[in-house]
Amino acid sequence: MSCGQYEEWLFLHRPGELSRADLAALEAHLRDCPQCAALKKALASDDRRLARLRAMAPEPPDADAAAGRVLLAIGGRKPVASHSRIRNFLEVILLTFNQPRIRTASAFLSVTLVGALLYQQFSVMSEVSNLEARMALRQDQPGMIHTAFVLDAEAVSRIPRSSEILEALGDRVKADSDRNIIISREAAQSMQETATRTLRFTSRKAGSAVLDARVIEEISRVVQRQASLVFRVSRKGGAG
Amino acid sequence: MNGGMRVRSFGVAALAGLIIVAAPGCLEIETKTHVRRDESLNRTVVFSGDSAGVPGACIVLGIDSSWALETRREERKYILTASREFATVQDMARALRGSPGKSVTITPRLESRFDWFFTIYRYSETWSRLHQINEVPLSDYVSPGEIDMFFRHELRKEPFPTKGDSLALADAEDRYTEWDSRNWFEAYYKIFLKGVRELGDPALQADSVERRKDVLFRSLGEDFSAFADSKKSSDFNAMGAEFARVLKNPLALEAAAKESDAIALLARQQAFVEDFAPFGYKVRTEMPGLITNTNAPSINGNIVTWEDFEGALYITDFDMWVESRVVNWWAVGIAALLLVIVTALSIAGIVRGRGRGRISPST
Repeated sequence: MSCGQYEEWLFLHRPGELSRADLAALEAHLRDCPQCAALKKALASDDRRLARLRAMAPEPPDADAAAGRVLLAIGGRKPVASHSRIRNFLEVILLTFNQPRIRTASAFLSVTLVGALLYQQFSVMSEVSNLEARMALRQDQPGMIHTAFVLDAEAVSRIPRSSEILEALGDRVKADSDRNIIISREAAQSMQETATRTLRFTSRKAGSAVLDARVIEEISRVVQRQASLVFRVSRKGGAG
Repeated sequence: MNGGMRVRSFGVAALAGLIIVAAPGCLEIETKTHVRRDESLNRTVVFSGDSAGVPGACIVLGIDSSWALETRREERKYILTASREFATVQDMARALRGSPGKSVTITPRLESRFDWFFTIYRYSETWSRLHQINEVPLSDYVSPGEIDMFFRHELRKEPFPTKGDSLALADAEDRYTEWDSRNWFEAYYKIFLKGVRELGDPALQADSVERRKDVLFRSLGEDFSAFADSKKSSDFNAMGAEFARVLKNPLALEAAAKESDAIALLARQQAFVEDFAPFGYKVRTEMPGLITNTNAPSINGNIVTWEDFEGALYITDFDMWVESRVVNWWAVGIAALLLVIVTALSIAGIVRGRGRGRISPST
């Protein structure tokens, strides 16, 4: 008997339509024929798969996606005579966009595009707003010129009555980490007004607002002469 | 400081550097630069006022026959408009390059950068300092704080917080004048001394000239106005004659003659500073798109304006810059199209999928 007959018996064997004698002959053949044995194994595997499918719910959890995947898989191979190529193409595109991964990617792309546009727009608005604020500051408010005279503490200590003067200047005087005494522009103005000529000299020589010991001595001479005036101006400033 | 009064005439042009801003010139010069999206530029210079000053002002700004000129009269004002198109900023830079002692050097730069939905443009224009004579450090006379105060008040129009600050700047102006006198004198003196050494005559020795340096400075200060007028002709004899008069030695003329070219160049530079001084300058720049940043003191729409900056050119280069953004509508369009397509396809895909899903169980 040929293998073809045994293959037919294998199919009959599955629904139980094979007689006992034929079944014995088939099993004997299967022991000797590896091809028919492989076919039996494949059929048994298909039967198990079908049994699992039967056990499942009628509709898979993501029916749309499953349908999409199946149609996408067969779409390219199965000729559809009634559809035009463009329709086929659109069909494929639509099915592609129906896949969860593509949907997620599309949403990400959309959010990124909108986010980038909004971010850049806000960034420009912020820059313009800063510029407008700067312009308004220039036009509407008096400019603040911050200057401070830095006096060497040791040099200051040599100025007669310096502690009294500095005390009068109050919190407008502070010492930095290098023990320099920093007098605000406002506070130093009292000295500046009374020692104009000296400060001219100091600015020219020192080339900056940082005054050295020699300069302090120059100032001290003037301050000594004008001590009462400085004291008065300072107190007035302090009260203000 | 007694000498300061006497040398005032010596630095009269320089003094103008700090106080010219308060004294309007007889000729107003306004430059307008229109920057376009394709990075081509149009530069227009409008001279308005007394016609007598126009030729000199044209030279100062490097306006030549390659510019399109148009003249008209408005009431009593003479108006000359010079304009020129430039394909690139490099072309404009070449036209505004200037030359020492003749015209001011202006260096324009234009950069554009793609930034997704925008294109960022940055235009800057640097007017070079009027001369490069640095024989005496300015910091010996004026502190950085005072210079900063000058810029804040004169250029950025910030008012003085107190009268004391105003007085302090007035004092700085005096010292600036003294520095300017010293600076120019040192430049001439150095050249003259080189001439004396080249001459090598025992009757006029460098040592003896150096001993009388201060006398030379003070004496030249007194008669410098006459000297300043004569040097416009680049006549080195004028300077030689002055040195000869003060040193009481006719050989000074020969020493000056040895360095006639260097003296002529220096004189041209000094004359240029004086030529530049009498005019009021205004620079306007029109940018494409929305202006987002600038160091200009005023903005009107997409036009920024700098004015009264000429005083700064006696001390330093003056940099004017502005940034703007132009919307890339094509990029916005592509993004919008992409959004619409993606959204439509996603919705259609879902609808289609559901349709198939309903059919599949029955089949």
